[in-house]
Amino acid sequence: MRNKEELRRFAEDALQFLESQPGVIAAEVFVASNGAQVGRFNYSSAIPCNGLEEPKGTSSDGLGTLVVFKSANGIEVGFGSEEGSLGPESMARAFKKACIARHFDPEFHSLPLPSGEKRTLSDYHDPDTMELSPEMFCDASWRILDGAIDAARSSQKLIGLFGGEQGLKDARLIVGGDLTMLQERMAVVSSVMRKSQTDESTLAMASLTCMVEKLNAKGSGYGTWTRIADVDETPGRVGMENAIASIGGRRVPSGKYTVIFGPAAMAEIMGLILGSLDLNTIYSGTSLFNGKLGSRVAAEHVQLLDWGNAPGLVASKGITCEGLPTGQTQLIRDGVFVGALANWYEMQRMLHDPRAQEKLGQDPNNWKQTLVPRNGFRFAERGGGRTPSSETSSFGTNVILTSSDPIPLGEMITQIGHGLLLGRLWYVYPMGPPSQGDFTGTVVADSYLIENGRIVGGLAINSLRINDNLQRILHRIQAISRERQTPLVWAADSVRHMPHVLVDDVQLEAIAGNVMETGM
Amino acid sequence: MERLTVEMLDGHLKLNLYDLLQLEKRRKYACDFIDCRVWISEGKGAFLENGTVKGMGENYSGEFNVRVIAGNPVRAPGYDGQTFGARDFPQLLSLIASSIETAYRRALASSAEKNRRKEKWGPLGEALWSMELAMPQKGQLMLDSVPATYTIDPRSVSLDAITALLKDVSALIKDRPRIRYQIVAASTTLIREFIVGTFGACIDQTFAITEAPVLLVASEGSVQQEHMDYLAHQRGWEIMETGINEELTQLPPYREFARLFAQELSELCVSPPCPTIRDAIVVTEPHFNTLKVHEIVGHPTELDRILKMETGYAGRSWLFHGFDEHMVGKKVASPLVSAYSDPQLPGFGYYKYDHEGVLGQRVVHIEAGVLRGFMSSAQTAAVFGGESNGHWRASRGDMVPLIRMSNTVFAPGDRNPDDIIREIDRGYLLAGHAIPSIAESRENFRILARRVHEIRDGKIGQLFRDGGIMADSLGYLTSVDAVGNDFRLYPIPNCGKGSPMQVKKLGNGGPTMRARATLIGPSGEAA
Repeated sequence: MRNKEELRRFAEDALQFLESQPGVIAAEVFVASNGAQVGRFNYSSAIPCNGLEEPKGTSSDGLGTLVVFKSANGIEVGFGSEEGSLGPESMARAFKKACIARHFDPEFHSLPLPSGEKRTLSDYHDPDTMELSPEMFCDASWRILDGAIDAARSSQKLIGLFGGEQGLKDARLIVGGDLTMLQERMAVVSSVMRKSQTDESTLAMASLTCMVEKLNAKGSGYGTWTRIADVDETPGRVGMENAIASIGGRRVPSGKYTVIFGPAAMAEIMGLILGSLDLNTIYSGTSLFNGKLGSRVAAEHVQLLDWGNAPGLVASKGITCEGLPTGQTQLIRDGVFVGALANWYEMQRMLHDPRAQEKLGQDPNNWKQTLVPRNGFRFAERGGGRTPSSETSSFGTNVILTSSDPIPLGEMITQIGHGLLLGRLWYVYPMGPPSQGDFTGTVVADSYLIENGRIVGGLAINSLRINDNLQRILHRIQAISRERQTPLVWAADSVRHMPHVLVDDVQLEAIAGNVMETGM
Repeated sequence: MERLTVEMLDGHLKLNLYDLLQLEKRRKYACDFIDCRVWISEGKGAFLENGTVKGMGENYSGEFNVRVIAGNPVRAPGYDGQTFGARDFPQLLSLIASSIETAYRRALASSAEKNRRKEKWGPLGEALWSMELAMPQKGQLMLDSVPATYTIDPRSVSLDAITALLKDVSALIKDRPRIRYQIVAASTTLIREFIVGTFGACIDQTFAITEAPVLLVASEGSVQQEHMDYLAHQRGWEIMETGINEELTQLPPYREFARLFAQELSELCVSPPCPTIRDAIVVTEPHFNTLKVHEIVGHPTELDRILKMETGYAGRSWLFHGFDEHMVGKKVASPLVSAYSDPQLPGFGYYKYDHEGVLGQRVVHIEAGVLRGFMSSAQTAAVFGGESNGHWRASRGDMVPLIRMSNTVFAPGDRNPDDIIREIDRGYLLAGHAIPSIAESRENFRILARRVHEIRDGKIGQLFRDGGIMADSLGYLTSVDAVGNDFRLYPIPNCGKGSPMQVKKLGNGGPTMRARATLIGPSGEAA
């Protein structure tokens, strides 16, 4: 990977080159060097397997530039990028593409300008992760697998059920998931923010799904780290322990239930909520929260925050891909919709949109303090990385759900008497226009029955479908736990730090009875 | 080097790469196999939001991915992928050699760790195998070159022509009542890939891909509709002007495609919400069945899921619990139902060779209601038995392939679809697919349709919005009592799988079908 001084110099040289071209009145240059190492896990005690199935990595360098041209028709903009190793030709090629792409956009007002906020996070990356060798990565991956296998081998319950350690193979133990480590370096400079800026970030995330498949029991474990030295066996161990704990899961009939959504379940639901808190969604009129800025959208104690510069949290960055400081954006405060995820372009066009009052429910010019462009990133298809070939969009960072009156999880369980703890949901999607809020998904793991204020056993996996509505869920949040976890959601751009959330009258449908009964 | 072009892969590069892989394999200790894909794409496109150009351009990209299988005594895989630009092309072979070294180190390191676990994990270490591949080719050189199919070369279309068409279409949509927001976009791309491996694959194939989505938001009062659909095919720019008029796929030109779509959303906005009715008779037309076959037949017949390799992400399959407990050879559907995957059908999922250089072959999944087989790769075939049937594909050149659908479809029946409807006293017709939600092992599904029509006394009546069906897969498939002769193949441009997620383009389809399911409307509450 290129070091950040190389990237800085290249960005500055590229800006100088671009500003010297005829017709160019301003430009922004973004240069990045990204690496990702991913190890996919596949262990199955009854099927030949590799354990660490895919130790793999990708790396890419490149630059992207947004060029502002003066033409007879006014201001035009064009984006161009060039991937691969960086050199003078790369600048020329990216510029040529920007010229080809130039067009008039009446909603373009300027390149990102200083927001007035100060950067608070620098030198926060892990140098060891940045220099990660294939051997170090494989070692960390197998350590996580050790956690799962050791948990199974040391479980007296499991050994008892299968007649000794030799019998564990017949339990059809499964360990799936992955360990992902991202290495990101970037530099950004523009005609209106002439002091070039750099950022370096690293993160490590593991998501484990473990099964005792013979007994239809499944559990999950997660890990997020900012330093490779901290990667340990915990996700594997916890995943397998959770699978073992849910052995003997029972089915329940369709109906309305008092439900405690676990952190992973809440992280899935949060994905739908965050989709509606993006200023671009609000602009298009397809948000659950259109016209509700300043209005109650959730129970009064609910607080939702995006915290991009949180020290020590895994999704923190020093600056956005627009060169603006990251920070705290309150999205829901005391149940009221107060802020949105925005990049510079989206904020500017909302401020100038004649229909902004209708779309937001408020004049955005009176809400400038909560509509701040702290979330302009270039995350792209390949799963992380600050991608030069992408223009910025709005993405969440560390998304944190809390309550003004949190309670311990134990108290929450005691409080509800009878109900369900739904630990993990699957395939959570809107069913109808997202602005309407209907959604569905199935209960897939880590779920339990609660009777007389205590957990009495597991819930059969894949036996319930939730059919409910986001607005109703948000308003019916009765309590939020003090404890939070950081489960990972497949292909999500943000990292969601979620508590347990108590909601009443959740509509659940019993499913797949025939499949379960036939054993298939 | 001015830019990357697909023609840069002409000449001796492919054979030089083949020689490089053979040399590296011989030079490296305990190295059993190496393969490499090199990919160059050239494309252009534009998108408009509410009639205004928001992005346009021409681009190219270069990517490659390497797999090495190495280790002693147990073999393990290692992978590495990179992007490259025009500046890098002259050094491409040395870049690939460096990537082979990285992948080799990953394979050796993982092999060493695996060896240790075979001891350390006791009986549970026995499942760790020495990786094998079940390739149809056994070392003999297999050279082939497969051209793209197009009339108008994607590279020959001017950006002016693209934006002019999109502006025209956007204006057409804007005039439809109740349309509040719209995105129209189009891209046309040429992708050329080399697939070279030490087992003998030396494949050169090129694809032309043209796709044009339409996203519309329509509203009337408090009722809103938001849907997206695609005109897409493995063809050149010509499909935008002439549509697709082939035996299996028929879609109108983009103007008409978008106009009809806008009209549909406009009508839906003034339609009542769909009721919820348990155990309803439901007729599903080919476009709805496109998503249904994708979710309840295609995904659960991917052999990586069958072998539990996707437990953490895409999920498993209710069709196979273990080698001693599965549905292969057993009834999983009505005798009227057959389904298969065929890479060689002329759909959006067409290819001749998969990304191991294995010829893509038709796989019958369900034959007259009985489960028969799965999509496979060389690795999964080595575990399951048999040889790969060529379904290992990646969505990008630098990504690791995994088992993906090609063109996965319900086979046609012999009934006239009009008769299938005419026989119903009271039922519902679901047309156009929207959003799916499927249980982890694909044993239950809820799929939202774009339109639901009531059927009364054999006639199509009232239109409803926001409705779909919910059912257990086994119950649904075994309840099918009529299958139409109106088979259609549609593009699916956005199938997600893998980690990092890979968004794959493929084909799905089927005929009209009649079965029983829960018709489900907004809020999910039973009537």
